[in-house]
Amino acid sequence: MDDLILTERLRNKDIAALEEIIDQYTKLLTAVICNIACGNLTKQDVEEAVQDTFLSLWYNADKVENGKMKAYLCQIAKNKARDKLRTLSRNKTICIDDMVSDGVYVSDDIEEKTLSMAIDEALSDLGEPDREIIIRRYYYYQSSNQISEIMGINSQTIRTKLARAKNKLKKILTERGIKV
Amino acid sequence: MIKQIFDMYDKIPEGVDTDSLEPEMNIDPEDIKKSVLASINNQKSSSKKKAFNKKLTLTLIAAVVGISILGTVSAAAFGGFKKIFGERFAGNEVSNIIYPGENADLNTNKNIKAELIGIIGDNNEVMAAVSLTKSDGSAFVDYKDTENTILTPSLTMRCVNDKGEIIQPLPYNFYHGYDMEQKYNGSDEDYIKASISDKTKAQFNTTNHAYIGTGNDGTEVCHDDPDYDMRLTDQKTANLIYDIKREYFSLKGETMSVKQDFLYILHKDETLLECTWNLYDVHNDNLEKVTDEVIEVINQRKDALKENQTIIMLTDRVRNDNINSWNSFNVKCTLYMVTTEKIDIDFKGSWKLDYEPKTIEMKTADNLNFDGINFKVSNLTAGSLGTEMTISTNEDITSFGEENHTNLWIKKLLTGDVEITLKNGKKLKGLFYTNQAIPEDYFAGRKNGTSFKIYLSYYNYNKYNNMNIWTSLDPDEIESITIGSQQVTSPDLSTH
Repeated sequence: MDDLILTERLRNKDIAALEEIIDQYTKLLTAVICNIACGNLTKQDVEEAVQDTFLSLWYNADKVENGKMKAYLCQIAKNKARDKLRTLSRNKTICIDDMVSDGVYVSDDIEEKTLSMAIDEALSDLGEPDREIIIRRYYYYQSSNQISEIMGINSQTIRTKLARAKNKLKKILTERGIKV
Repeated sequence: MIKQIFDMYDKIPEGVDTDSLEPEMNIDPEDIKKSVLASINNQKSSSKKKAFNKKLTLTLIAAVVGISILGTVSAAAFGGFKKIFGERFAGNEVSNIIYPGENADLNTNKNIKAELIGIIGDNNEVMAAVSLTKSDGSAFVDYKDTENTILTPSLTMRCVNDKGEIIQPLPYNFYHGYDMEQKYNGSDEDYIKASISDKTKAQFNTTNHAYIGTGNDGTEVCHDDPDYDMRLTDQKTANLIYDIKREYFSLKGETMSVKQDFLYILHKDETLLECTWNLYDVHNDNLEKVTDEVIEVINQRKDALKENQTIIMLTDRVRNDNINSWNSFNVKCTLYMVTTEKIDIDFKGSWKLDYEPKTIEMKTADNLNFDGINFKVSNLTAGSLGTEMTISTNEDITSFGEENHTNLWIKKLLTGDVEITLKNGKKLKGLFYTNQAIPEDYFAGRKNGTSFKIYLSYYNYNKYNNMNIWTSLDPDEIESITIGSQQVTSPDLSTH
């Protein structure tokens, strides 16, 4: 069912709509959370993060902009995964890089429209396949090996392209006045 | 920082098939439904109680924020702080605790030196403290981030009193400027979330990444800026690096410190770019020569790398005392080859480059004006980030826009109507590196700033990473600079 209709039903506290959304997005959110976790979360932890993500959607349905439910869910899933990792980090060794990202904790209110537009433009400037590689690595947190497998490109090449694309992206964004 | 950028990206990037994102584990949507629905039902019954607790918490925090805005901290509060830190950090987690002075005023102090004195972590409230020492020797408490090395932007410091209450959520923008202030404009709840800094404690326990490591004696043992994506294979390697660094500094007769040290790590399966990026930031012919040598040697050694072996390169880039100045520095690189089992320093080479700054005093015409602002270009100095141009104005530059402070004007100045003519006839216009433009007293609160520096670098092809990067300008290359319609410097006006 169309995301717009589901979002509207969700705002009206339609439980059935939430169930449909869970059916539709559980796999995606599980992948995003697992990618961030780098194997440091148990299945129970991942389940809880997925549940928390859907709960956040339920309670914040009014904040979800039309057409952006998927993005909202992905962003919240990332936050929930990091929450789990933070809790875990106090007692054991974990994959800290993805936990803390670059020191940013994105609030549940997704804003930054201007930034998003600039990112769109900068990504376009990267060209393919660099664009897809960098999205997979930094938006979906896939490893170089995963990207390599999916895109059929040598993993060493992926790493090299990532390094260069990242540098180029920084330059492009900096040129457009975004402090990177 | 790329991850940070993508965390702010509020849409699903097009052109990537999300069906290809196969999760490592299967989660049954039916299980999720049951749990979610149960939670929603439970939430309904307990929502009133939670709402009350949340309101109470936020009220307390709001009151605390209000107190902090007054800008002073009492001696009694610091006493409480001392007590908390003394109790919580009895042991190995924090060393060199420095207890702050009294009645420090955040808004007026200058010449401040920051030093980490402790970190507290507890659920979503993580606090850190530093000593900020004024030129007169007195001190007060603030957060630490002198060189973006320890408490990266996730941290906002909060002090607590002897009751464990937050007494001073200090403004991040005191050091870092508007960006953090804007980022944490959300609710108090968001503010607390944003202040999570487990990183500073957990960093050395990472399985595959190294950040600032806090050793058992409280010293910092390794450093990773997320931008460089440095990776360690495992805890053993991390420990080896700790040992290497300890030996390294011991040989130098110095205490272990991150302030003059940059660490690069290269795995057999990693591209060389990973370890040389930072050298790309140094745009200077001599440094590029050093980079060539480093890359050549690393390439030689890389071929000889065996399984589980890693090249670790320690580099020193020692700058002037003024941390804002990149004009004088030297670089020393030392390579180590290690395995995950033992330190095996089978190669040790070093490069050293002493770079002397070159300054050209400029004479500029009187009454130069740009966009209604009178200004003067006082000198050009060759620096690693380009030619540093010092501009003085007759006005307080902090008044040129709240949002970006000086940058608004600087950006307008440089991207709008500035042209540099080189002696080879090439003209450069509108592509100058402005990120480093800061008022001279920026670190003292940007008060009454009337001069600032701009690095005149231009975007140009660089052979090392096969792409365009910012390239420095030597003052000697410059024939003339024109700002607006006015030529502010020319060979006729300048003296060497």
